[in-house]
Amino acid sequence: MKRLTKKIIWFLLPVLLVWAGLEIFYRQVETNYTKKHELIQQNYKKAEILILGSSHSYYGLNPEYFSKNTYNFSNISQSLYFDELLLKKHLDSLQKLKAVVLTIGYFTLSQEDDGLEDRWRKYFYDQQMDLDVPSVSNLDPKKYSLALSRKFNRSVDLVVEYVAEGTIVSHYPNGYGIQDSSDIVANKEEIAHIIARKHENGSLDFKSNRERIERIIALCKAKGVHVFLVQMPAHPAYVEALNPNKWDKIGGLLEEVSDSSNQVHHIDLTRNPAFTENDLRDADHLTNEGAAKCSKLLSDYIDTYLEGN
Amino acid sequence: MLFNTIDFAIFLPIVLALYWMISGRSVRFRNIYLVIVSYIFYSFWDWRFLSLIFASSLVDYLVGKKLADSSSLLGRRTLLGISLVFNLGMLFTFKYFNFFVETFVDTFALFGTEFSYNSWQILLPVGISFYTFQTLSYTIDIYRKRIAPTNDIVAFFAFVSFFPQLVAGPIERASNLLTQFETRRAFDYQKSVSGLRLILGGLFKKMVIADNCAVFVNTIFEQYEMASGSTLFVGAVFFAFQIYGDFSGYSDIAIGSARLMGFDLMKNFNYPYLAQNMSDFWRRWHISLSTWFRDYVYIPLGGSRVSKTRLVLNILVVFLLSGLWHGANLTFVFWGLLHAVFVLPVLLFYKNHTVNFSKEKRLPTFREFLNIAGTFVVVVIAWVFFRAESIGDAFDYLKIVFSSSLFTMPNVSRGAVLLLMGYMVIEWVQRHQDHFLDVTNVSSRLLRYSLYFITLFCIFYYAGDVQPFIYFQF
Repeated sequence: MKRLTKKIIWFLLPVLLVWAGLEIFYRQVETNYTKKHELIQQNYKKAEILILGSSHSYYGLNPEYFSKNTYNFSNISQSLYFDELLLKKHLDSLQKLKAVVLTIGYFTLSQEDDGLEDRWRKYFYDQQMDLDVPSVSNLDPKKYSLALSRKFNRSVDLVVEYVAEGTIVSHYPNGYGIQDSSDIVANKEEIAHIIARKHENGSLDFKSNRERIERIIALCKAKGVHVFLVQMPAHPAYVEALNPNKWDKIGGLLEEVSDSSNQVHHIDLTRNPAFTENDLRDADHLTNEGAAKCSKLLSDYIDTYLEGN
Repeated sequence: MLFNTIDFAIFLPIVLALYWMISGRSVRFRNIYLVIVSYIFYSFWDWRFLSLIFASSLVDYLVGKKLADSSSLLGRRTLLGISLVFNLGMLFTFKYFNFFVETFVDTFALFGTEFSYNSWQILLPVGISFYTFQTLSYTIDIYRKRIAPTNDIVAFFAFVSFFPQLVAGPIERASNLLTQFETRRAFDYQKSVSGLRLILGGLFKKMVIADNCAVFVNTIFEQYEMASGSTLFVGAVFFAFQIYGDFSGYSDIAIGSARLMGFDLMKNFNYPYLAQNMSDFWRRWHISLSTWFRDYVYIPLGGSRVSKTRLVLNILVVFLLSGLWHGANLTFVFWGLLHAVFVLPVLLFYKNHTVNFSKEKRLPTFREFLNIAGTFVVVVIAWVFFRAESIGDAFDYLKIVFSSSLFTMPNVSRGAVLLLMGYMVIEWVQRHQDHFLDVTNVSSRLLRYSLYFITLFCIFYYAGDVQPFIYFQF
């Protein structure tokens, strides 16, 4: 027994060393999560507009083009579940906040709280953004080891990226995601169909996410903060490939919610003619130029609404 | 708790450490410990269904005891009936009720009679098909006087709930496993090392082969209408490897984990894709289930010592039941039927359908190669029905496969195809070994350890996204 135990330990020693190395890496190096957590605190006294949401807003709304002081607090694959947790945590500290922008995609309202895809992110929210994430159990070993929460090859890729570029943070200080021409997909129509299939989970059950939006609105209303529910521009092929009934149901729900209060506004840019194919980098994300256009448009909308009050 | 998760990587060493720490205590004490940890293991899915395992264990333990005491045929038949009704009733209630009601309603609807019904919203308890078959085999064997009932209730409860094989087999027989619970187990270095090899190999099959194939399979089967015949054929081949890697990987980890505690579970897979005909395939695929159906359904029906018409009927019954065992869906029934249709010619027209590979030959003969390839293609076609959402979808899928686009270049990852081909070469080389990572025939210690490290590296670096084990749904 002792002989076998010794052999196993020797055999697994390299694995344990690599694991320890990766754990140190994740604990020492700045990530999107630690950086956003640090930046939101720096924005406590100045941010007037706060952008939440997924990659649609991360790559689609650049605070630089907003007339008011804006911070982009969205993140890749950030669901409403985390939008709510983040807002709850920071809302009271954001002293000048006037508006919250929440982007709603085709998949947002039917998204499960703890879906399989990108499950690793919840551990980073928990550990690196100081959130008390209810879906992370205290008995879950990944709560205590970020290296265990990510796939090994992704961690290695990040280490390589860090060595090559000196950082793995992929956004500007205003929270807007860094992208360039290499991210633009050549055949957008083809990718639109693939992404559409990926985003279709077949569910029309919006109950829990509707309640979540209503809770976000209630939080903001209590602080006198306006909520802008924005459907971002998307490729026509992507829009058409998805269930029209679901689109209608999403639009209907957002209209209904916005009608309930003059502090809630619904802006649907999905089929907005101002956005051409050149403004899109793929099926449902904007290029830097598209993001500039969208940000200016949204800024004007927000200014109009806020000044009207 | 999945075998390929960090939770199990923590659970197993703790269980093993405590298990061997109490090795000086009585067999009964260690069995109590195993029942407790097995119930804890199962409760990670749903603790409420522990009551079903408990009830199934208790009923069959009591029935077994009574069977031994009863001398009248009527009494024995009644007791066997109680066990059958209880276990199959439980299986029917939780797994097949909605399926049969829906099929009944749909059938009548075809003839213009409409019934309204509400399907039963009920969860399928993980592993129910496995442990009910295991307990059933115990009572049937006692009824047939093949084994004597156990007087040790703890050993019996441990036999039913033994965590390595509780949720997805191998489906054990009391004659093999229960006797091991009744005897003292001593630590065996060689057995433990072979167990670790099995676990490592099983993780490779599951995480590298099955989980990577799953990504391609999901994409291809979800959008099959848009793909070429060649792409769909490769998609079906990927599924063949996904389900093989998934299930045989699980079995290997189960057998390996049991070996670490001194138990020998039965072999469940024996290089099935090297089978040379369909009968050979069923001697190599899910052996614990196929032998279960052989012993408890096929042979009682008369086996092969009957007229040809009766043989056809027996085979159809066995494979239809086998299909239905896999899931409450007509796709599985049709899959079973297809296998019956493919196996029948072998049983009817070939006298000697037992095949073995020569140890001396490095390469298969041309005839052997054709047999392997032909059998594999037939198995792959049948898998389409297993994977498809409906029988209609499966036929549509195969219609595209057998179109002219079959002869175009498939739109799939060449790296994945090469990985699978490489894996099959390894299986061919290792065909006489216990499993693909059984390198006891390699004399160089350095080479052996290099192979272990390469396997370990592949598991960490090339693992696909975590997918649930397919057979857990059965």
